[in-house]
Amino acid sequence: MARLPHYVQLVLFKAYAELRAEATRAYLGFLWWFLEPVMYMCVFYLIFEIGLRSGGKDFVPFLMCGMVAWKWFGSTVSASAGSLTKHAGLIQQVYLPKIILPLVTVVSNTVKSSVIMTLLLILLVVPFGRTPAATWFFVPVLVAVEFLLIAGAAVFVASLVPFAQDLKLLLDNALMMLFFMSGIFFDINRMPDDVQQLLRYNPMAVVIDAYRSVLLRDSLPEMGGLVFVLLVATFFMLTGSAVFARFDRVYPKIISR
Amino acid sequence: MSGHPVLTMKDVGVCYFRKRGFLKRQKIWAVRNVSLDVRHGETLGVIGRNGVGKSTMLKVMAGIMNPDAGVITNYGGYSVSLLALQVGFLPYLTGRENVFLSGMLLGMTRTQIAEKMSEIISFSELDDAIDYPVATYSLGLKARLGFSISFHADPDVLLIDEVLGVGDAQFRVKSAAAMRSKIRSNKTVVLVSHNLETIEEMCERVVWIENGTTRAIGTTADVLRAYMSQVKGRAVPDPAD
Repeated sequence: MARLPHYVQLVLFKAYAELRAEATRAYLGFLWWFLEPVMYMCVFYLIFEIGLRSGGKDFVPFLMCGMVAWKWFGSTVSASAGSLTKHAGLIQQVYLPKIILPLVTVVSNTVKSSVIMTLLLILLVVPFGRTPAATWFFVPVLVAVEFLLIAGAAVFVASLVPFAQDLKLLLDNALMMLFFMSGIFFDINRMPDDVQQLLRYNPMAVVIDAYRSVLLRDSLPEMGGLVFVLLVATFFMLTGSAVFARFDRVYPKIISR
Repeated sequence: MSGHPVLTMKDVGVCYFRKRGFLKRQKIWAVRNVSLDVRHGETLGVIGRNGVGKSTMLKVMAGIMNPDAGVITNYGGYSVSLLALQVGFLPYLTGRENVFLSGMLLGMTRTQIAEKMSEIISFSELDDAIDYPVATYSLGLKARLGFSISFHADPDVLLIDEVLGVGDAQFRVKSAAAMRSKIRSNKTVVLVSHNLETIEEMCERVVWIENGTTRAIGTTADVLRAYMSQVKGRAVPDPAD
């Protein structure tokens, strides 16, 4: 483990390099880090607010909190599932601890999401006229909890997908199901008690509700829920790292170029 | 000049699974039974026909893959790696950024790379182009940069699979000459080549691999003589084949 500082540097530099490459490639460069999520939110806004007329005055901030938190989770987990396959050539040429690859995806997506998160906070104040309350100081804690959940889930899926690429298809559908069950479009607090109980087994539903509690309802989230999220994150991280440790020098063989 | 063993392989085997229809897999041994030792400061040549498992064997030596059978021992934490060119290059980054990225992937720390940067740039003869995106490079420029990085990575044990020189005629001569002098120095090298003259010129000992098995290992002269006589025997088509 003497190489640990080197590998930390490698994760950070590779993440930086991928972000740079992404920003240089597109004509509008890193503006896309704003535009893409904004467009994504607009689509849902149009459908719900104008199309289905199911919104209310506070629906847009409500929706945005959910979408921003979800986008970070969903796109990172989905992208890290393919992170080993994407680097098939690389891992056949040099030895690397493979766990580095999903972590690079986590870091680069986190940088992109921090841009959106900041945008969200500004939008809540300026057009939507919310006054930042003391509970907003709790946002960094929620960001940290969500980060750990994302890192755990990313490592977990990345460790398993190479064994059967079919899992990637399964994962994308599972993510879509979670997307609709995380209370992005509805308030889980308004569901009947038994349904609520069930929905709260989904860590992202807990995280999203916690963001709303802090940002929109000026109250601290329920701590038990956050502890549950951390337990899930730990489980994913430990299982995923164990699989990576066991199969570190087997992946290059099962991933063909 | 050659000394204590740095790396030994004993009865090493590597198998792959090939898909055969729905949920059916077939086991294929790419390397069956390789035993060899690499000694400090020597150049060990590896010969054998295509597809006998030489490249897989190098991957096991480099620690990229675990063997499925047998044991590989590294005496004292030597760094062992393949001479891999243009590792992890991202086309939209500049040459300089790619030196960092590729160098770190090859195991160099950021500080080591920063120290060697001017040497890497001057060896590659890229001059100002080093700060242009690699996407704007010609194949030749890219090859020069890739070679220069890998050449300076310098692991304890260097594994070379055929490549000695790259790029246009002039750079090919220069890079091959640099590589040859590195191989001839007191560097521990494992060299796979189909060019028997290169093997004869560079290697103190040679291992001959056939069907994933060590057929012979010994001094270059002995093993090459045995190999040549077998190859000649094969030149006459065998009616039983």
